[in-house]
Amino acid sequence: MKLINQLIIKTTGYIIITILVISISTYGISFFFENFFSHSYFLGVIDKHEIFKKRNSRNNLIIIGGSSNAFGIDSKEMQQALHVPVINLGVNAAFGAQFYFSEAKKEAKSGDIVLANLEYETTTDSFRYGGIQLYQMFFESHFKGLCYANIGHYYNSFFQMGNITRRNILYYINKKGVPDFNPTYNREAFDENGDLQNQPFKGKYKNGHINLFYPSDYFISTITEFNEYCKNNNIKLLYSFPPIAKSTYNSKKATELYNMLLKANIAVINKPENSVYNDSLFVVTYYHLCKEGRYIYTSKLIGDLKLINRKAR
Amino acid sequence: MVFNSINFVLFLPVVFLFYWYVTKGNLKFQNIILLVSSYFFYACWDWRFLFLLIFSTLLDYYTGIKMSDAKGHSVKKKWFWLSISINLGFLGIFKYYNFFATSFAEAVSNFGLHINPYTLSIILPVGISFYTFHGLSYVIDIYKGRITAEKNFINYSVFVSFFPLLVAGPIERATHLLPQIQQPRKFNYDIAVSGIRQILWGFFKKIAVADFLASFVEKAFEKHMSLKGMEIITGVIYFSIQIYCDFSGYSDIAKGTAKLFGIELLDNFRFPYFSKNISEFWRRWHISLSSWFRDYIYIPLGGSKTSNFLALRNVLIVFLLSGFWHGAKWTYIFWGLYHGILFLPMFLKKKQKNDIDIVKNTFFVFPSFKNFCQIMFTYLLVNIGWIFFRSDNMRQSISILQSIVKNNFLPTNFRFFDFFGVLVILYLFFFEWLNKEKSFGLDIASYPKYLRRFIYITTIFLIYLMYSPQANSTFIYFQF
Repeated sequence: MKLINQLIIKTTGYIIITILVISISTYGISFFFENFFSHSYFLGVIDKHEIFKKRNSRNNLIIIGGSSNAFGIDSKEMQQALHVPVINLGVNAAFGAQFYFSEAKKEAKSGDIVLANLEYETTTDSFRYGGIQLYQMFFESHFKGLCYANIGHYYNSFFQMGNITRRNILYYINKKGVPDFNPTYNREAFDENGDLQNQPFKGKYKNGHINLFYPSDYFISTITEFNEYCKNNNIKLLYSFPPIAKSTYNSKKATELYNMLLKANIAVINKPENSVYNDSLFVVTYYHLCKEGRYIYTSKLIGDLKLINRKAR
Repeated sequence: MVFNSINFVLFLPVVFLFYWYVTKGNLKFQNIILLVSSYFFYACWDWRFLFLLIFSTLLDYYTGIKMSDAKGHSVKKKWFWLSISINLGFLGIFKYYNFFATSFAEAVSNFGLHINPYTLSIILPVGISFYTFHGLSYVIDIYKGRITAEKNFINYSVFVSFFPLLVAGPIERATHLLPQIQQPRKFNYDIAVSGIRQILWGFFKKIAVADFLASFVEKAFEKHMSLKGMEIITGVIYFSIQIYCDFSGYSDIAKGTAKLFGIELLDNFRFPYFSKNISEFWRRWHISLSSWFRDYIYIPLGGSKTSNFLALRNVLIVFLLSGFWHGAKWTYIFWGLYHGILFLPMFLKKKQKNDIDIVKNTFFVFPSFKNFCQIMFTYLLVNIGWIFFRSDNMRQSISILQSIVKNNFLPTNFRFFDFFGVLVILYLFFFEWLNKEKSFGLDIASYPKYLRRFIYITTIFLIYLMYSPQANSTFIYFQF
């Protein structure tokens, strides 16, 4: 027994020391590289929240979700048509629903409308605490983003930090300095409403693979919980389906998600099939609309929101 | 449950504590704990298939006793064939039925007959090839009179389903494992520490090397048409390292885990890429399977103690079966045949028995030039085989070989280099080469204490750096 105890104590000691060494070095390296990615597209998160401080407006329409919003929504157009201040928080689909709801909770006030325009992948269980992009935003780009993190994000970050540290070291070793500046995907490309500005007018996307995703009960419980929060704080939560390229649209799963949302009493303002567009309107991915596509999708969204408004009256 | 999961990291210490603290060396309790935990381990994957495992165990346990008690040879033979047929029947249905049905339909379509084969939409139970082979070895050994039947059902069940080896081997023999299960295990500190070291090395191989290389390999095989020759060759080399690290990593974790419970499993890998010829490669690669085929197929067929023609036939049969064991695909069969053909010259020269000596360091830690060339040549031959093994079908294999030759060789922008990828590969082979006379790469018990600690922390740190939650981390050999 004495030897077994010795083994357990020694092994536990090794584990604790190793976790400490790993944590200190990886999180420390992240601090060291904090300004390394100063143009990072992900820093759009920080800048977009600054809009709230600058405007201090009421009865806002806050759009949450991923990059389909950044590419696909013309907030100024919406402001003019709906006569409400619009702030587009969309940055990346891999940030996950918990993060979006957490962001919205920080900013939304009584009288505001939160439009959850979430990419389909966000509704799957594997996006519960977001993908690596979220942790890149937290630890590569700026620690300010951590104010929207919950305990699950902190726990999950431990499993992502190795990957992130490796990328940081590689940038340093290769002496690339700041990663190549991308005119479309960079912090400065967002306008004062949070929309992206530099995508091409015409699209040229071609894929053909059906988007596989599995709407999860976890997502429904998360959005239900957020809906309750909104109700308790006089905030209106609306759900909308993102624009998606025709070749990748998975009608079976989209309909399944739609029905799950209705069953959970979420106010869904449109049907998924109405946000499906020709591939020629997309750039790079099946969610990123070109400017021409943005105009079409924004007009449709304005119509959906007006209809809801009329029904509410 | 898989080894590289949080569940296993929690499961293992709990079983370990129960096993040593609660049982206090009582054999019955030790085996009950091992059995319950093994069934739990398997049920975590899919509890429905636990019934298949239990049925297979009951079948071999019962037929084993019946064979031992049989008065005449014919009765013994009857029970023997009953067990063999049912075991192979299950394997055939779950693993090979669809292959035979579709291959038959394809074959008759060449004669103008078009039939729609009835295929089964069933999943392959994890580990079925491994636990079926455990059971077969037990039944054959009883039939041949090498062992007597195990009368204690719990002991026998632990032999079949001991969780470290349940889903991907090593394929154990009743003659080796059962006697260990029949005796109460005593805790040995040095063996347990060696076990932890081997588990750590297994995790390094799996997470830091195999999983990391997987994306490069997939790209090289799936998009070979658009890649340059050098990129495809790099992809194939990466696959050779990936499959070695994936499978031998699993074996290391299995062996290390078993050591924590005072059980020594059979060796499965002995640094196969340091082999000087193909014969030696097969004495170092998936040892438990090749020795299984040697003892239960090759020798009963007459082995080498027969005419040259029959001996060659026996060799080819064993290699073909070895390929087929991996799965119902023509690529695996061809891979087996390819190795069989490479093996034949060694066999004819009668060199295959003396080639397991470890390469000596002639200059510092380096081998002689001759040995180095032999190792590299063997590695090249093995890599050609891996192209067939990894491909989805024969057409893809041929297309990859053509792309290596036909596409431009040098890329303008080499996308298959990764600083950390190369670093971990060097780290892996550095330790494997240094410790090639030992049983695994991180067998560093003889190193100074502080150096050992430094190596542990460096290894864990590398695992952490290379770990990617997004990676598909299933062990490749789970599918076999």
